[in-house]
Amino acid sequence: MRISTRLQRLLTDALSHSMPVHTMIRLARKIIHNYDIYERSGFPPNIPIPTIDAARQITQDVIEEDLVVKFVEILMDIYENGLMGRNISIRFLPQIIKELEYLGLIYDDEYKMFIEKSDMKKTIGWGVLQENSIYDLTFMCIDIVNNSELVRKYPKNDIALAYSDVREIFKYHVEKRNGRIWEWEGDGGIAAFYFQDKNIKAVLSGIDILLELFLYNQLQSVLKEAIQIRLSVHTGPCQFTYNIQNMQSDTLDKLKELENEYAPPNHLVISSGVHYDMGSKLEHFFLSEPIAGGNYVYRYSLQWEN
Amino acid sequence: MKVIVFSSNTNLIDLIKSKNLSVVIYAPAQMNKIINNSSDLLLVYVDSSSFNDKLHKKISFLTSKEKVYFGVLDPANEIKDIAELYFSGAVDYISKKQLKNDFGEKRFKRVFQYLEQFRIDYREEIEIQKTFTKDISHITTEKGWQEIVPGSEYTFSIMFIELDGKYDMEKIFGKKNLNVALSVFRKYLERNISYFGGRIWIWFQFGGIALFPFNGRECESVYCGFRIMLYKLMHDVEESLFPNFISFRIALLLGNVTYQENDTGNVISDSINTIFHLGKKHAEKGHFYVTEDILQFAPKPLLDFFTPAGDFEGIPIFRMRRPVLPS
Repeated sequence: MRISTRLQRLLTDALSHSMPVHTMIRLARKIIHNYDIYERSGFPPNIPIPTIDAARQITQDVIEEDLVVKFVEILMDIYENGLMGRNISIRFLPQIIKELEYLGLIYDDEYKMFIEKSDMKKTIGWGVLQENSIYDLTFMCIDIVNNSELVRKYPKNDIALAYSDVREIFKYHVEKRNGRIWEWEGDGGIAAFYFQDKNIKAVLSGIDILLELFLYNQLQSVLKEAIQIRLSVHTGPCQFTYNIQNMQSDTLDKLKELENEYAPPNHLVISSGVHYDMGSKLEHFFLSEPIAGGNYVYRYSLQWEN
Repeated sequence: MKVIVFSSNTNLIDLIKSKNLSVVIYAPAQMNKIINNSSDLLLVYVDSSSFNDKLHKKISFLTSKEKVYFGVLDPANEIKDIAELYFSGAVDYISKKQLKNDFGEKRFKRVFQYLEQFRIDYREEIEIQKTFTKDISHITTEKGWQEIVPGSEYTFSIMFIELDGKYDMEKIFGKKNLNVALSVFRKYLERNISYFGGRIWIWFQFGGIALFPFNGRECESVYCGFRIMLYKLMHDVEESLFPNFISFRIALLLGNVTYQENDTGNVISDSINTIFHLGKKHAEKGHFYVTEDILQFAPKPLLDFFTPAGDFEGIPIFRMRRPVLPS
């Protein structure tokens, strides 16, 4: 993230005007493991480091480590909740927040973190995920059924239009609930969900996609037959990288296995870990299906009364 | 008027089929179900040879039904006192010989003429049907609400929506909680209705009436109602503040209304009366009903999801098949 000199100056001033050096170091250690200001600044450990120098050094290190957003979140947290039972008034905090807003971020009170503004360009890490860090994420996989057959059967333009519409439906319902599309390869893709209620949001997006596709098939599709999809949702840890193709993750492997092996056409299949969070109403949408190892998967499809 | 025959006599059935008449034949065992579920005017012929000693019981049943007129087919000439049938309310009798020669469209016409001349109840029914099946002249609007001026009459899709089970709700949820939950329900409806160019026109606590201007070509209101039903379960999960799955009725018809912005509680209109009756009295809990006339302006692919649901005040109505949760 490109940090302006103004934001850099504001951060330095905020630290130096709001807290003593040992508090600054304590905050820096919250995000940089074993942070040693003497080692980084070159000051001898036996000489007390001046407040302004400590503030400058910490600001510079936080910028270099690409942790500015996280550091500001910590400043906001101690401003609201204090530190070790002591209130700390952070100077220049409104100006710092404004600077982050210029960078396309907005503070979300619910999640207590900065996220991308909805009207700005969306990145796959919400502007929050750090390269190579491990996060608990929820993933949704979509696959168009009988892709090769459809491609052979229909004119290229019709297929291109229909697939682009399916992608738009997928994108709209994923991003509507603050999910991100991580991958799209012509006949399917993967979306990720983070933040609170990520399992519920992924599942609701999946159900929404099936309903919207039903209406699309009835009323809009240029193809003579209904486009069918398979959806799966699974949650688990994943090491984040912006290079999705190279991402290795058991969670993603399990997601694809769910979709390939347990999702019939026009079904959403979710793992038991996801189902656990569904709540008293949403759990009624699913039928359980025993699978190997004494486990279960749960399936939803749009059904009509006779 | 529909003509139906109840018989299990194969010779008789073959004979009737050979005449190529617009007559529907049912097995005797189906009589109660067919008659009870029908709201049409019916001319029913009962084959005496298929009922034997149950004939009198069945005649009593038919006599007790409104909009049902009956005759007796006697393929074995076994009925001794024909006049007794007329005393019981029959409007026709067909002997073995007449079955071959006279039983047909001409004969049905004679029966209708007789009913029209001598049966007051029949004449009243026909009048009601004429009133409700007459074509209303459509007063269309090309630009929707932009064109609509208060005090003038227009054709609208008129939609009635009301939550089911309203009488117990205040007791169950408490007045304040209920009002908050109801406002969320209203927002769900408003969002969907306004997306399709409609407006909630009259609102009472648990539901209301929405109007959609009619352009003479299509009724998006049917699609709107369809979507409200399709996404109802999602609304339950994601938006609704009611702790349980809610249930509501929707009724939709095409009718003329003098549009007014104020004092909507005192609207006098046949169409509004009809939609209230259809929605409040006829519609079953949790269902979406449309009249036949509005269905012809609905998106064609949606027609498969509507099934005939009898008549209401002489108007054929259809009911949407609903999305359901797995059981």
